[in-house]
Amino acid sequence: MKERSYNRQLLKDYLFSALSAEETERLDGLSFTDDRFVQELRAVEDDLVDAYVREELEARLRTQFETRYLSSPLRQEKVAFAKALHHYELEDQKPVAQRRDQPWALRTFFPRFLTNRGWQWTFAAVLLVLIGLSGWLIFQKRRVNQVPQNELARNDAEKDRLASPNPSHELQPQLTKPSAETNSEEKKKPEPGAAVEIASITLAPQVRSETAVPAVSVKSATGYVAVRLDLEPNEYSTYRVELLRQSTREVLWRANNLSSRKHDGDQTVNVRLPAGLLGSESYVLRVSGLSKTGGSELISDYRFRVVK
Amino acid sequence: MNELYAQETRPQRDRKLDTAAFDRLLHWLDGGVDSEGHKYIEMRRRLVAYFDRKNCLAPEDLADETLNRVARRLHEEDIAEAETPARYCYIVARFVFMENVRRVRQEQKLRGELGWLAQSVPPASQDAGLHERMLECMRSCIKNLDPAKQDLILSYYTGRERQKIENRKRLADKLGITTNALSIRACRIRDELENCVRQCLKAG
Repeated sequence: MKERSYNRQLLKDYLFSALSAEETERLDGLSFTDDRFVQELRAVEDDLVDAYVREELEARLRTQFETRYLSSPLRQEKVAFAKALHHYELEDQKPVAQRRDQPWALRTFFPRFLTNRGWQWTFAAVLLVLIGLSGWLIFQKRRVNQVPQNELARNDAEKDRLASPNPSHELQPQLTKPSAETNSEEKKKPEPGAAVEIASITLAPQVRSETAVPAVSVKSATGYVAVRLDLEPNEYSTYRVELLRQSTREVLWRANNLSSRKHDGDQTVNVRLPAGLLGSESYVLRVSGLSKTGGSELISDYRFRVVK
Repeated sequence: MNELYAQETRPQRDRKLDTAAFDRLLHWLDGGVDSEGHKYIEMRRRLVAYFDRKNCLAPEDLADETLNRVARRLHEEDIAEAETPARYCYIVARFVFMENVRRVRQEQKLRGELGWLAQSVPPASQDAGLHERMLECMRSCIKNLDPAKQDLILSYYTGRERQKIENRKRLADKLGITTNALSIRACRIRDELENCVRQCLKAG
């Protein structure tokens, strides 16, 4: 291998035009004929430009750099490039430090990911979907958790029914969310884990001559009143049920799109009223049939009384 | 060479080569092994760097002028045996440079504008927008580098002063090469990156 006739310092002096004419001419020649010299010269030049950009040059060299090196547009371009590279490194510093301890796949993915606007948007979109999905799952879990709790309460109600002379029947928990009074229902919702009682009552279609109004007893521990409404024969398959205060005809609660069920050969609709809505007074449950075209028809009113 | 030499960028005589002359030049630079134009590009790059170190204002024009002259002489004389292509290009480049120096001095004398030279050097770009565009190109070009090269170029510039030197030693050990070889390797990647950024800026 050919002996090297130059070192880094000499190359720096050459770049700063600080050598004699003879030495400059010798190195000029090498800059065409010696590939290794060319590569080392470029490397030294890069280091010099980087050191300038990073403010690592001592004052004397800095002055030389600015007066002798920076006089050409091409070299100014090199400085601009070095600045951009340095800027990029500063941006990338953290990922670089992390990269050393990361497996290859992460090392190659994350720098791209962090600098690619497309990836960033994709990540944001995925994150939003995940947040939405988590919210939905939490909501579903809370709903599912309510069912066993209500089942326990229903069993309690069943025991009450068997022990009580009043006519009462087992009712499925009403899961259809009422469109009105939702807030008040939420407010009155018993604490999770607390024992909840469900009162129940079966109501038959109102007969004009009927004077006795069925009553239901609502205690302080009662969370809901389960009501089974025996329907008159009709052609509807979905129903709306509204709770009205009898004295004012004010609608206190409403449930839409309820399906009927068969019970001992009769068509029935089951609803669950939040006990907190009910005081010691008379109420009316109004049942309307809903047609597929969106229309509705009053089927029957069911009066009942609450005793507290 | 501290003196700042300048030249006007004006049309050169016989600047353009015909296809046959250009092919002959490529063949001669390749030395019998087809480099697919890489030898020509490398020689032009060396010429541009040479004229730039001599503070010529239009180094690219002078590099082209040098290559044109070499190509013409290849056609007119038999120089293939006399010198290596690199050496011959250097000899021609020295003539082109000296002619340029004489011309600039004559022009200075004629104009009598001693302050003209200083004004003729374009100031460094302060365009913040350009820096942003360059940075954007840098991001894109680094992203498109081969992962191993990406890793090397970013690791190579990590740290400051002593820390940087130690870091490079460790990196060279890891790769089983000398620090000198490492610096050359980093320099090549940097060249690649620089070309990519330049193309990206041109593409706008």
